[in-house]
Amino acid sequence: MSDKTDELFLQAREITDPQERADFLAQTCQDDPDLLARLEQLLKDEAQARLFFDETDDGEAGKTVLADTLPDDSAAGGEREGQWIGRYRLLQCIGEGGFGSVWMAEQNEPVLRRVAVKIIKQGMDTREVVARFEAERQALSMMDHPNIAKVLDAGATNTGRPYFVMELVKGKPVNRFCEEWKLDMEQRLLLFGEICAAINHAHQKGIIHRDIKPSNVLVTLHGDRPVPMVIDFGIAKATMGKLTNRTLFTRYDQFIGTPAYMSPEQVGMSGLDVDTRSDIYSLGVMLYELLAGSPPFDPKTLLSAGWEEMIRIIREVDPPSPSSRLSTTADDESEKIVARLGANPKKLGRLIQGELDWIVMKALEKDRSRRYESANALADDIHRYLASEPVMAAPPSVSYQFQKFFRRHRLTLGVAVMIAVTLAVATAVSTRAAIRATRAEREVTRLLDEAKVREVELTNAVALLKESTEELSSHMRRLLVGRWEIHLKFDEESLKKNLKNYESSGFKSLFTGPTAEVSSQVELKEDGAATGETFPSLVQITRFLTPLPDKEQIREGRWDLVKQQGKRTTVNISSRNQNGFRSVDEFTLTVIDSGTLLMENTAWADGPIKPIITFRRMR
Amino acid sequence: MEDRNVVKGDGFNVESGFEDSGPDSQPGVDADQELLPALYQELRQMAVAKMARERPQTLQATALVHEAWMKLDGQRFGNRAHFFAAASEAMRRILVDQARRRKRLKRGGEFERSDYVESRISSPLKDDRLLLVHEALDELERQDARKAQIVKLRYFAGLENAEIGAMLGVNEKTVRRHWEVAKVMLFQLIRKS
Repeated sequence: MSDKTDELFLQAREITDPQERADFLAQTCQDDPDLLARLEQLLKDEAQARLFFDETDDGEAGKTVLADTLPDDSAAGGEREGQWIGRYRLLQCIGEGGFGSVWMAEQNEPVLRRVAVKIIKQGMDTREVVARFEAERQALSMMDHPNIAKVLDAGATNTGRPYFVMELVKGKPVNRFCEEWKLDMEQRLLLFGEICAAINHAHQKGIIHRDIKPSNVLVTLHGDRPVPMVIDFGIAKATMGKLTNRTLFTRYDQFIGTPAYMSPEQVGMSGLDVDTRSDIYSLGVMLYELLAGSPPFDPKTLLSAGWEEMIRIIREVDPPSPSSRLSTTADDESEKIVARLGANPKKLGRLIQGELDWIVMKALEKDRSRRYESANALADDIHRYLASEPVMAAPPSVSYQFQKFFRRHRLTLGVAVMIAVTLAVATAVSTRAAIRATRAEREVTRLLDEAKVREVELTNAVALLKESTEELSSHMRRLLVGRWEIHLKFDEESLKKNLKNYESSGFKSLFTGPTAEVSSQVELKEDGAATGETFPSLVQITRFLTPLPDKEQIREGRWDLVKQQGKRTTVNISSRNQNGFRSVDEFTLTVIDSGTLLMENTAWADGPIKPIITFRRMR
Repeated sequence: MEDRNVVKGDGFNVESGFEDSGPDSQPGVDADQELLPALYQELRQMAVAKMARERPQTLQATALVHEAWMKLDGQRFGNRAHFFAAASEAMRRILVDQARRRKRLKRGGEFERSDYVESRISSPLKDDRLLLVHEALDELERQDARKAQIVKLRYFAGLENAEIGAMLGVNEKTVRRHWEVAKVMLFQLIRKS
């Protein structure tokens, strides 16, 4: 396409008035009908193109636009208006979700009527689903209640997906209805009572819903009276089968969209079969939501928590009562709640606190035997509340609370008890412990003595190895290169004994501590030079014992590896005084480990005073 | 041309043959055919490694391309324009392969081994639309190579208009205008097909 076309198109699309735009096009394309046609087509297609490419609309718009371009198994599900599914002609898609889609459809045999057709999306064993539905069909047909939408038929589409045909119900999910019509609490409770009655009817016929949630309870206005209709009876059972493993759960998750309404026994793998009390739990969740504005567990949190954690929450965590949920509502949430409930959360909380809390929490008991035994019992309690009669539900007793507390904190309590017992025992034996401490002290002294003996043994071993020497290797030299901390330790007793003038000699002043020890640092270089500010003091000490002719301070030294055998190396350290007088001392280095060297003045090895010199590598 | 054929036959296992790009009307920014197989592999390996290491829900295709740029900067791929041109083409192929595979699985080929990792790269478009765009893109390239280039850089390399402009030596506004027109042209091509 030429730049001119681009330019004109971009200009023309800025003109919003159709007449003006037509004028503009006519004027610019006076003698070019092709260009005009091209531009008009571009302008015409622009809106659709934008929908097609717009990622923010989650693909919905693109789907409609290209419904006829897309292949049959596209995300739209392939069903189209006017298409026949069995005896039903699809008229209009009235809902779409994770489970599939719901259509308004027309049936003309045996009677002409409108129905709802729910087409389950791919991913389930269709034959199994239909078979399970057929098995339940007899029971389903026994249900006859004004607040229950009948499921009429089930089958498989020609693309092999299961579908269910239901009485067509027009209405809003109960939570949205309450919100939009701003029902007050009494109206909500009355409406909920009717839902309970419908569920109770099904229970009496032996049918469990298994998937009670607001979107399955649609409410319509008959005159000015809200009428609830429970839909999808029998479908959950047919599509879910037994929830015994994770795979099925994934399927369930696809189908339902949220586990927030599922009872603990439904998510658990306890092997308990789901019975009518599971529906009571789901009713409890719904009542909770109608009173507090949100279900006890946030559906998003549950879904994002992961499988194990989700099960744990549903099975173990006790949600806050509806009133405490309301009273702890954050301020920024508050507005949303006001919109949902039509009242101030704090005020509402005070109203609910007490009996209504008890009713909801009784329906939500984790242990199903503690729930209401029937939907009617739940409804009765609500009616009692409305009539200001005492309700059956009661606040949990102290002993029950304690039991719950104990169950919840088994581990913590266990540890606490253990500590208490330990303390008691510890007090009793503390006297004996004192005796033991004395014994331990003695033991330590003995070990210390032993360690001293070992040290002597080591020194002796070094002395024994002294005779044998070997050629020096560059390896050893490299090993010695680096900064070392030199630690000299003299046996003070032998010093005192052997140096008559020890105390006054000044020798003692060279030592840093009370013992005859001195530390200094030295750096040994590859070329054999040894530098270090305190290095001379080392030499000075050794000189002190065999005095240099000139007592002037020595500034530097040199070390030379002379001989090596095994881990032992003979080193010559030569030092020079200011007058250039040179003195050489021979030392033996023993590598204890890569970071420690033991150094011995070979010349004194047999003398009376033997320092233990340790080199420790500095990092 | 010979070189390209060699590259195609040289272990470059894309599921279907790709048409050669249109005429080289944008020298220096056209995807270098020699880089493609290397980048294709590189991006896939990075996706595999990332999946194993971080276990994210999905990988962002465009983030992957940018990460590859940080990692491979200047090593083999020359300048930025050169790299992103090649990378957008490589990512296009990866996403198209992935979409096709998923589609096949949907059609009932359950027993086919699916590349778990690869199918988790999130694409800028839904599978069906991605494939439609992919097919139309070759035709757009023949009609207007620059627009096709912009679409690729935007969609598959995730570049901003300003970056694309800098790369093609035009200003941001020009890129945006090309994109506006390219969308309509692509849509028309898709509908025609």
